[in-house]
Amino acid sequence: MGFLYSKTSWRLSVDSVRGLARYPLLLLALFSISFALPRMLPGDPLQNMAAGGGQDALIALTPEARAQLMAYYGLDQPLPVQAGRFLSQTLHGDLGFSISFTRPVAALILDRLPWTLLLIGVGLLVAGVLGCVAGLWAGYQRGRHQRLSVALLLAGSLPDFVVGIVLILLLGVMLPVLPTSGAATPFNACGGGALFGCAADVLRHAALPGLALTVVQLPAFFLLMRAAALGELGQGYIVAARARGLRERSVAVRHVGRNAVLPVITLLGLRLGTLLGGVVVIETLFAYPGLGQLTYQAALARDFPVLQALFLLGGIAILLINALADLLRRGIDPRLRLEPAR
Amino acid sequence: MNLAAETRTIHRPRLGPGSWPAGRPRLPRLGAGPLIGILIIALAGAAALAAPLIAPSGPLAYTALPLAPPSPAHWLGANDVGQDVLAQLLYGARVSLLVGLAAATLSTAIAWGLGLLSGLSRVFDGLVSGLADLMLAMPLLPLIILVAAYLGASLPVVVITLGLVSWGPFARIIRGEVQSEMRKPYIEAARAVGTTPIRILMRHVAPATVPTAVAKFVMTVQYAVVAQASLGFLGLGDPSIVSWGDMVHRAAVSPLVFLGDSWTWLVAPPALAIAILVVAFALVGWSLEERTLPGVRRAAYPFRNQPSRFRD
Repeated sequence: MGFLYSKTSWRLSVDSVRGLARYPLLLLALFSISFALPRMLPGDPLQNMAAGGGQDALIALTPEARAQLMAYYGLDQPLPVQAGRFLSQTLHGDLGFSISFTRPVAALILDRLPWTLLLIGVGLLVAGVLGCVAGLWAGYQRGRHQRLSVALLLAGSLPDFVVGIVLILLLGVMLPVLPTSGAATPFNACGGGALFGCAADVLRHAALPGLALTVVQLPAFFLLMRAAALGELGQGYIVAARARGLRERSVAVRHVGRNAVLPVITLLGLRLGTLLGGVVVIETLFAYPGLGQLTYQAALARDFPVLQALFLLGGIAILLINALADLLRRGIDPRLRLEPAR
Repeated sequence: MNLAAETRTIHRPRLGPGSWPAGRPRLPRLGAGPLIGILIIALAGAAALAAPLIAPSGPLAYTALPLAPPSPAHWLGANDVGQDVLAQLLYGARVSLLVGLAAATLSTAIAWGLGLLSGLSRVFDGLVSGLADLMLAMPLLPLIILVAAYLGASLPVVVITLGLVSWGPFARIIRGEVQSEMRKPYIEAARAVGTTPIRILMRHVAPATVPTAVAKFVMTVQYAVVAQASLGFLGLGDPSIVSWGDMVHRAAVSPLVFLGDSWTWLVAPPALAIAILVVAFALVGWSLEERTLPGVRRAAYPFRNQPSRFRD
């Protein structure tokens, strides 16, 4: 936690307190929006239920039954009362009960979270690490490899479903080596002793959506790292390091790399937060049961408890990850510790 | 683009040898990349405007046998209910361009307005920064999907939603520029002779941010085109109009489409059209953005007008 203190005096500086004061305000705003947004829009969970919920036959709701259900889910209460209940429930660690899935929201989210985490882990981390290494290398090549950069820029601007479709065509259809949908082979003996086979199966299913995510995300990291490395290479301290007789590898990693990776970490934090909210398009294309699909289904079903929990948690995740990225940058670059915490 | 270049020359003269004060305002030279981008956008714009004239039929008319392969009568074949794919492709250009331009206009207006307001006082600055932070902390794609799923993705709804959610990062950048511009001596001079803050903003600071705003506008068009296509792909498009995303959704909703060869005329044309249009906007956007970057990072940009000092 030393990063929060100013370097010169070991008192919590006024600026860092002011910086931290933003978080409660942001959380409050986030909370209000998570609560209000699903309710502001037309439709409610019971209408969806009456329309069959997308699965069963039509249920005719009599006004009495409707009123009873509204009371059961607490939807007949005035909005401030509902908001207060949402707040107190959330603070007690209870995210409520899903209306369309008829399960606790927390269990629902915990069910989906591992798949999204796996997908992001496979996709984004590969993109981040590979992008950093390749970007550093390309920075060292100076003005060469312009074509590679342009090609990557173009690839990075493509919509993710276009990339996904191309990958399905290449690796799923023309050269059928990878499964194109689902997260695991159904009825696969994942419970017994075949732990290794199970893990291999899961990884095989995550490969194609993960690869699509990597292709979409990699260019940004590569280009940022390359630009930052180019900037560092022009600095005087690089000449000084070489003059001291440091090996070029050490210059590249400890001097150029360490400085150039700072903006990349910021970008990684931003992207990670965004993706945790759901890799909706890729999950839909590959029928992957992650958080994005849950958001989509919950939105169609007007499932208020699920939606408000997803929004709140997604927003908190973004804030948390950005704060973590900030701390990480302070750990890497001592100069940043002199500035107030954000 | 000329506007951007001229503004820069007028308000921020380049002090290179021979460029000022003797030179006229220089028009930017176009590299191959942005030129190709502009050509593609112009072509898409022409297709969108002339769609009723050149399309073989209306986009929703049933004119062929279902799943008819490409033939002289239907150049790109027909979809699963017998609608001409070429006609849908041409009319789809209208939707993509309309949504992209309209949403980006709205987003730019908000971001630019708020960014300039931040120069007015510290209170406004805090408010704008806080709002932008909040926008950055929101899970955006789920938000868009939520609104589209509830309200139905009619074009005005999509345009307003995309415009309202996409201004966050953009406003931050404009705010940064405004803040650094406000610290320059000429602003102090203007204040010293009694210019009102609003006049300083409108006459001095706003023109200085034009190049950034133009670059960000093009990038936002690109974002909106992708987002609209993604909504269509998720099946949240407006059923009464045809967009490229809807076409991909219709065809690719079952993975079986890839087992035959029907994907070559059902999936490939709209997916390619989206990809090419997005890439075109990206090419133009980058070359504009490059002009707004300060010295060193500029050298790292792939589309350069002058040889870099890093080139061996």
